[in-house]
Amino acid sequence: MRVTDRLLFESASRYAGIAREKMDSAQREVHTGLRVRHPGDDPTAAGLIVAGRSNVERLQSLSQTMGRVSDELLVADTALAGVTTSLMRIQQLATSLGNETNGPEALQAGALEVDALRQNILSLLNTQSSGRYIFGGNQDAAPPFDPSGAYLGDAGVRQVEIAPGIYQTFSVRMDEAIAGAGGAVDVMATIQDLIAALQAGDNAAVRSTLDDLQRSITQVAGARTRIGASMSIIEAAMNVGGMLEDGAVEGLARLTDADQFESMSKLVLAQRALDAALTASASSFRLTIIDKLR
Amino acid sequence: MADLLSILSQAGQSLNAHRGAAAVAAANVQNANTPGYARQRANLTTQSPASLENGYFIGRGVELSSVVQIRDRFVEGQLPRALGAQARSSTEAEALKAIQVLNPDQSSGLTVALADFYGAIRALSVNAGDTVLRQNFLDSANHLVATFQRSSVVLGDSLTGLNDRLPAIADQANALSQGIAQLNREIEEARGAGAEPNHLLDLRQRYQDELSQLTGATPLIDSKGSVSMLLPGGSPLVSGHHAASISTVLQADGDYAIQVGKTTGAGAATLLPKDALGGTILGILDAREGIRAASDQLDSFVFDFANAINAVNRAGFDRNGAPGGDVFAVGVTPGGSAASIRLDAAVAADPDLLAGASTAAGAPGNGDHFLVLLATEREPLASGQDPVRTLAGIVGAFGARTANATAAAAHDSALLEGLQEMRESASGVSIDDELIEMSKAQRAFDAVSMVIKVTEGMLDTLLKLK
Repeated sequence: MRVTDRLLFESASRYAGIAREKMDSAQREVHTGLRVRHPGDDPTAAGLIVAGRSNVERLQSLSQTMGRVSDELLVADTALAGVTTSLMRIQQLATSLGNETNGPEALQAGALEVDALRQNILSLLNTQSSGRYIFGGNQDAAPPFDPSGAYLGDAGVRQVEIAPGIYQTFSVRMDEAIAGAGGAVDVMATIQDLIAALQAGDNAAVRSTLDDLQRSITQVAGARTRIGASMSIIEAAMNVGGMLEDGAVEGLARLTDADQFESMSKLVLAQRALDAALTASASSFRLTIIDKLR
Repeated sequence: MADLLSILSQAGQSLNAHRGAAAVAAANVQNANTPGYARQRANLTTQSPASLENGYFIGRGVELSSVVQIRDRFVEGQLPRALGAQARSSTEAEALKAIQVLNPDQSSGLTVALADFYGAIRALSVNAGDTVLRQNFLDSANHLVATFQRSSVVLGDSLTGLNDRLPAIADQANALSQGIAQLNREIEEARGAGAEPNHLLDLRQRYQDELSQLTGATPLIDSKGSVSMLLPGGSPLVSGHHAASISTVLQADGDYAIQVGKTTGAGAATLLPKDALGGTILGILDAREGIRAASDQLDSFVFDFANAINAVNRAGFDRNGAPGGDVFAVGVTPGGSAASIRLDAAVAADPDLLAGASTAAGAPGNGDHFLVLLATEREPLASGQDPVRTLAGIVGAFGARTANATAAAAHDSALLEGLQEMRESASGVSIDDELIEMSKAQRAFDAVSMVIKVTEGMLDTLLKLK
């Protein structure tokens, strides 16, 4: 092939350009850490990156939502633990004051203590988390129990998505656990009955509340069990979700991220190629008959 | 009879011939970097008729018979198509690669905006009455709308930019066509005068190359040496001394179409189908098609997505127990949905209108219906795929088109570079070669000068015999 001077210069320019382009690409890969920037870099990977990024975001969102639900369940469990403690104290008082050896004064004093405990229970049942009354079912904008102990909430239960398309019930029906729906004992009414019996100085009436108080404690314990079960399921789901998220992030990184060692190697290779191209060009430019004719 | 005086006369002509050869080599050296210049070669031939003396033909020196361009017809025949193909694929690839709005891993892109939207619904589903979360949902919906609009605007601007290039390219192509037609005339005239107008041939070749790049037109040389330029569909842009004009026509969809007039006579211009064009123009049309496809797919996706969300929201009940309304405002057809989508004005003004409840009980904390809304994340849209997969399909399809154009551009560029190297190898100027040619001419010039000197000596000798 006949090699002209212009061919020599144009080739030098082109080869240097190619080497520079490769160096720029490697440099950008090192700086950004991204293997696929434009969909055209790897169309199959680009589609998978969209799905992968979306999956990671979804799993993070699931985890955050479950985290919020878990926090709420913890608040609910703490509140119901307080309710149980108060109910057990009330049961103790009822057992003790139901004995005929206690006179009206002791019963009156007992009534005051039970009423205080009742107020405490009411306060616990009107607990809020993230601005909502957690024991009101779907009526969560206002206190679910009025000062008389009447339940103003509803039978609504809420669900949380624990994995894409899989839902878990996490709220407890206070109409059943406290308000006596479905044949259960109305806890607040039982306490109210006890207070009335104590105020009336009626030991027998006090004793008659003991069964319902026991059932009340059992009901609240049942509610706590359900909350505990929900917490366990959600915690397990969060653990699984965390693992899935780690896997999804790793899978996404495999698609998007450049291998830093490979990128650095590419950069060094590109730099050497450019250096070689420029050196070769410079030395070929020097070889001309013009110099020999001088 | 070859007397001494005729030797002197012939030597004078020979000196002229070698001077001419040196001048051609010098012109070559001086044009070594001139674009479109093809090296020229001085053809020296023995002067004829040779003189017959004593039954022998004795030569009469040398003359400059012609100065011709060196061109490899085989290579030149392949270059126009290669120029057109490379211009086409490179234009398409560069235009598609410039679109960054569909990049898959953008933190502020469609993927993340869509995920944030569903994340906001997910958060609401467990705390439907929370006004802050409801407002967050509206914020994320607004962000999604803004991302759709931004993507649409970027794609639309790219289309406008590509369209705007077409009239300028048509003007450029017309100037080249007229230039070639004019040069055809001048070349014919020069040849009629008996000379080969190499400088005009170079200029015409340059115009031909540029026209091939812009339009994909290929040359056809007639018996008179005039070049006609034909578009890939066969329409002539140049025919002999006449040039046709190409122009742009604004179509109903806002795109420019290309039409070509007649080279001679009156008549309506003909609208050219895409496959009748080539070069940069076709590259622009291809890129436009690719971007338009992505834009249309995005519009369909936005339309289907918004209607799916609206349908679910309408089936639920808002925080006040009233039936839900639309979340998004979109048109009645998919066209332009990505640009025109808005958050429904009523919902935007009152987040309580989001239908999170499955009953009309007016229970503020009822978020059952938000779970139904959340399920749209996994349910197929009218396209047959869920929203994320639909979006992934749009990105993948656009990527495939870009990758194909990039691969074609790399292939076409390599092919063109090879041909251009072959052209340069055949027609380019080698300084070494030309300096050698000049030295050769100088040596011959010196030798002929010596002939004159020796002949003069011989004449002196004869004169001294008196």
